[in-house]
Amino acid sequence: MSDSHEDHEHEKSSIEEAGGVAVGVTGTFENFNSDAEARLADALMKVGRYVQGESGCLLGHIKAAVYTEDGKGITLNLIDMDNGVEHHGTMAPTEHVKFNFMCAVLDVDEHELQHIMIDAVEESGIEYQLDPTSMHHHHHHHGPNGEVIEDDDDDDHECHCHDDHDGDDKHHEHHHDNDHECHCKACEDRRKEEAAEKEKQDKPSFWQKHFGKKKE
Amino acid sequence: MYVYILGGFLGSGKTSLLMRLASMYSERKQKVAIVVNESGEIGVDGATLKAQGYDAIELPSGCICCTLSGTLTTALQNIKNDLDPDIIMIEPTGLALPNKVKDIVHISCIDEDADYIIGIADIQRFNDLIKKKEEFFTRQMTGSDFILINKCDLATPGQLETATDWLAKRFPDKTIMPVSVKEGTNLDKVYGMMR
Repeated sequence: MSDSHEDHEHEKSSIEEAGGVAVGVTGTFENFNSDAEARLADALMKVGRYVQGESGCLLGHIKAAVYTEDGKGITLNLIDMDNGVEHHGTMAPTEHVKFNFMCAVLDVDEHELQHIMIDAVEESGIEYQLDPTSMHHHHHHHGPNGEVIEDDDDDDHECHCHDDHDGDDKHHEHHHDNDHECHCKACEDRRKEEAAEKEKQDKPSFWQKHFGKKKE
Repeated sequence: MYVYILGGFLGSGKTSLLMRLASMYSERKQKVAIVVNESGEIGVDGATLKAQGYDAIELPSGCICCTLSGTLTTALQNIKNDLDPDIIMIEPTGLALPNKVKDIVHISCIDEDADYIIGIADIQRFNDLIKKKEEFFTRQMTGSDFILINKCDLATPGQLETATDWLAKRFPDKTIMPVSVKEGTNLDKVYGMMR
């Protein structure tokens, strides 16, 4: 233990010391049933794959609790990608349930992680509503269903998370202050586009050349 | 009143162990109070415990070993005054330093008879954790009164021996025991070591 750690003037939190992040979102699901449970498990796996890709391994946990007003419900827990998602408890099909979705892991970008989590819920196909107060960064530009709100003027912070980033070399400087690779949909799409373009570089068509120049 | 702090890295099985131990105490008519801390604003462990029928006091949005130390002190004093349980079980976040939590319990003036740290290591991720966060993990285990190597049912040949050697080398005075919270392996022994 370093001396500076013991010095309360400069004391780091244990999370900072461990290089960990803990983020989460809450909200509600409609028509929750076993199919939705399986879809939610897939969403956890998607987040797990992202963490594994970024950090090299999944050290930490990705959890979701789905429960009714009286607190009864199920928990989904992912701590090992090979073992998959553990399901605890059972729940009969329920029209309206609450959920908590959280992730505590190491060596990933907190903001990006929350993006991935929201995307995973969005892409799961479950009918959901997010609790805006549970989203630190996102509340200012996402609606309750995760949709982007273009004219949100809650604050002066301009978010570019969902821009197509064309011609914007510094698109992530506001929230990626390190070398982490961004996996938001726009960046993933751009990467795919660039890879496809690279493949065709040997025999580029006029249109491809033109399109490439436009993107620069 | 005895206080137990369950310390270990994220995903090591602290919540599962807590539920098993709480059940064992409840079966013996001991009054147990549970305090659960989670780093993020959004907690899941509290919901899990409630879903399983346990009444837990949740302390979210920070870490009780540092940023929420004052909150823990207040919570412990309230538990002592309102519930006066036989046992308080504290589950800090998987990124907390349990010996710092123990210090906070000491200064909370709840007149506990004794407090103990149960360190939990996850055999499946032991090597990865040592590779990436050896110093932090070592500090987490420092101060443990005994160390449990959880998920021993999932250990591959040689894994348990390697982990036990590693821990024994660094913590020669601690009891180190393989357990499987899921299967109940050695939990009776753990209970026997507790008050």
